[in-house]
Amino acid sequence: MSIDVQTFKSLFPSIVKHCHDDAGAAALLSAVTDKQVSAGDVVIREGEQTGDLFFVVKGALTTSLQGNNETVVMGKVNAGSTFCKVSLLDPGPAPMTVTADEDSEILVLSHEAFRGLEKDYLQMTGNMLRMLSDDLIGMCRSTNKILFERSKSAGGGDLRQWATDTYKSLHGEEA
Amino acid sequence: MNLHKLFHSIPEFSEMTNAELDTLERAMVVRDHPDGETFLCQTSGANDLFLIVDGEVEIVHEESSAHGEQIVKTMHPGELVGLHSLITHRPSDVCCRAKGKTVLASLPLSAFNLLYQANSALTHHFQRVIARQLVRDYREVTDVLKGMMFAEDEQQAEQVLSEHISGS
Repeated sequence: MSIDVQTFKSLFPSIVKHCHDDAGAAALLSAVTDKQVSAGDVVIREGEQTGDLFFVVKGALTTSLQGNNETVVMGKVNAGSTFCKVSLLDPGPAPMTVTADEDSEILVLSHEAFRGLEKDYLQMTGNMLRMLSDDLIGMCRSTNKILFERSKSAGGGDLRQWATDTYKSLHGEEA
Repeated sequence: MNLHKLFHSIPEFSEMTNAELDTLERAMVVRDHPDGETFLCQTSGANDLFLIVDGEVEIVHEESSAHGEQIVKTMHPGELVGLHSLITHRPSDVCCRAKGKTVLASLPLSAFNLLYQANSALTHHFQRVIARQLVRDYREVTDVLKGMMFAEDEQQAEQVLSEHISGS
């Protein structure tokens, strides 16, 4: 592995804090695989089936969504960020396309590897499940609230642009 | 319908063993709800997690439009109701009411908290059930936003929003 436990903890504190102790953090780190990507590489494509959670160790990437005739840039993910949280909880279509802006290093935690940690690190995996679930609820509630509010003021401006801005603000870096 | 049989028909519960399903079944109370009964109110917090055993549940938002309430969606047997409010300990954003005669199995808040917060094989499997439903909810709302973003014109975008809010 290219990074040690201390670096892993300092880069991803919001996730590693759920590991309970260094042994848990080390186990989580040993469950991930290293991935080096070059500028321009697509790490994951929107709609592609995946169960992976990605940790960005180094570099910078862009998240985007594909329409019929256009690609909309949603946000950036940099070192210390993660993406595809939702896929780790329930494998399925990737929510966005993620492309490397520069040569980058990523750690990949597969759904299977995460499940493999359950036997010996039940508290850690339980904490992570709850953390990811809380994140999803927050995003769902915020989105629904905004959608309800917007529906009350129908006809007020460019709805497509409004949806794009809303998606970016709520989910752009949370692919 | 037998609750245990229902569990077996729901993919989300497929990881739970028979013993775990027995434990969950014992913690739940099955009750009939008449047509139109509101069992979770907007602005009040959920005290139970509800599993739809038979019938349907309408999810209603009371302030969506000048015309009054809007039915956001209709939920069916096997789906869980009340999750967001239970987990966040915040008031519900919507009302939930029986559509026709409906049978619900309810799990009290104390039992829910125990299953959701503790760390054991049983609770872990339960947390996975919850997570999968939340992922479904998340994909649903992001699909709405995507549908609006990539609509061909404003009219179509309005239609996507309207269909989501009205549960079409």
